[in-house]
Amino acid sequence: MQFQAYNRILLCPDPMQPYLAGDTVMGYRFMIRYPSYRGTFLSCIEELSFHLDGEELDSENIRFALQGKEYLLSQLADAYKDYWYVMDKAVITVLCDTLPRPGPHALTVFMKHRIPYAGYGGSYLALPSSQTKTLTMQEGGTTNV
Amino acid sequence: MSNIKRGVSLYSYQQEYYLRQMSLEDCIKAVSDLQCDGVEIISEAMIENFPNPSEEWISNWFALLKKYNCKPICYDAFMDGRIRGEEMITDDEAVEQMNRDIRLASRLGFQCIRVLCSVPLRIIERCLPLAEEVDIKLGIEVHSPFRLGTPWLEEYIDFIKRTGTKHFGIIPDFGIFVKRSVRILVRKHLRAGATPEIMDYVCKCYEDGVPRDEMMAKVMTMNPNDEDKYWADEAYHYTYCDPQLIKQYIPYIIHIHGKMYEMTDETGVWDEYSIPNEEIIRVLMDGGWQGYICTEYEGQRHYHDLPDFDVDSVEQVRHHHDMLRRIIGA
Repeated sequence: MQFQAYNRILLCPDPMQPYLAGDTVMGYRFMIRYPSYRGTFLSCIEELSFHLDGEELDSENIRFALQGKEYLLSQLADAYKDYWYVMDKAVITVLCDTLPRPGPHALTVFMKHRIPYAGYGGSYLALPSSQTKTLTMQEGGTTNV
Repeated sequence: MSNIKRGVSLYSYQQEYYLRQMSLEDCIKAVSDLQCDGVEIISEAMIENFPNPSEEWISNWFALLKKYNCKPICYDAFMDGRIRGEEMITDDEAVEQMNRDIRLASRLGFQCIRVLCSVPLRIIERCLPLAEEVDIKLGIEVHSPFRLGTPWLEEYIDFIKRTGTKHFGIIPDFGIFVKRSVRILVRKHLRAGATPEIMDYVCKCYEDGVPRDEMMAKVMTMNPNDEDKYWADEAYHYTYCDPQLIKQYIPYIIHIHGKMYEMTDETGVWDEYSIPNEEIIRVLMDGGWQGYICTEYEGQRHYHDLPDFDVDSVEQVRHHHDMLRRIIGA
């Protein structure tokens, strides 16, 4: 069995929130945490993907936000100066035209993350972390932009 | 009574801290509750807005230490060589990372820095001038799978002897003295479907010093499942050095990590299940070593497969200190 770190708290239990511009649906949001005892540079996130009710979400529609900065998932690999402090939550925004129906949904997150401190020996670890949790899609919504 | 002092690496409370069941203040109070004063931190986990904490955070840090009569003893630094993946950081960047840590450790009042065992001497040499300037000792961690009495370690020791530096030494981690396999890890593999006979056989081979290849060849004839094979490989990632070996390194030891996986009182007194602490610490005491042993509890990760995180780090650390007090008499 692989070392599991803190995978089970990858997904924050807070409800998924509609993300609106006025009355227009832009998407929805939820939060994730980094599954280790120490933080990481964002460049160490090698893969990040999500499934909602078993269906993979298109990575091009996903934004990752931390400390007031927002990233495309494809930008994370270059963010080697941006540090994810272990107590901070990252906000994931899924852009879409139609919100998931209000109520419970099965959300899965998969993150492959490099442990960057080994390395002088030539090899280094990249850990797969995954968690599925039932999150509630909140009804109605607030204007976020 | 010895000159060995007790402390705690807050790494020990990582789980409660991470789950926000314990704040930094709770962690420092837990150290103080053990009637000891040595605090060691995992810099990145404990320092808000690392590596640039606010002045307010730093003031609060010193206020907490004062409130609980604790001292900042060791700052655990990392060396993130692979922030760009395949492309290793340059030596200049490595020096920059370590100098950043030296400056921060100094601002927070620490006396020494744990340097990861993978950091080459050439990087440490370039950081020594700053360490001297702010009077911080750098200590290369002697951590499994590295060992005492090896060419790897001798390179660092030769450098200390040659230069006479007072700002570089070694930090042995007691995880290099794992005499018996970590029992809570064995139990975790059993929960995951490992075969008890194979687990027992591998543990016995490790304890008896049977060569890895010989053990593995036999395991492969025992119809092992994947979990068995995983353990057969993992069991030999642990390290056992003869405690007597530490004697020759006493002049170079600036700090110690008291690694701990599981405390047990099965023999009537508290002891760590895998590590012969009494034997090791006696050698240090007989050699007149002075410094802090900071408990580093690492058992919590072996319960992560259970439905609830069923572990009390504070209690485990407390029993480790029951053991330390018995041995060092303080």
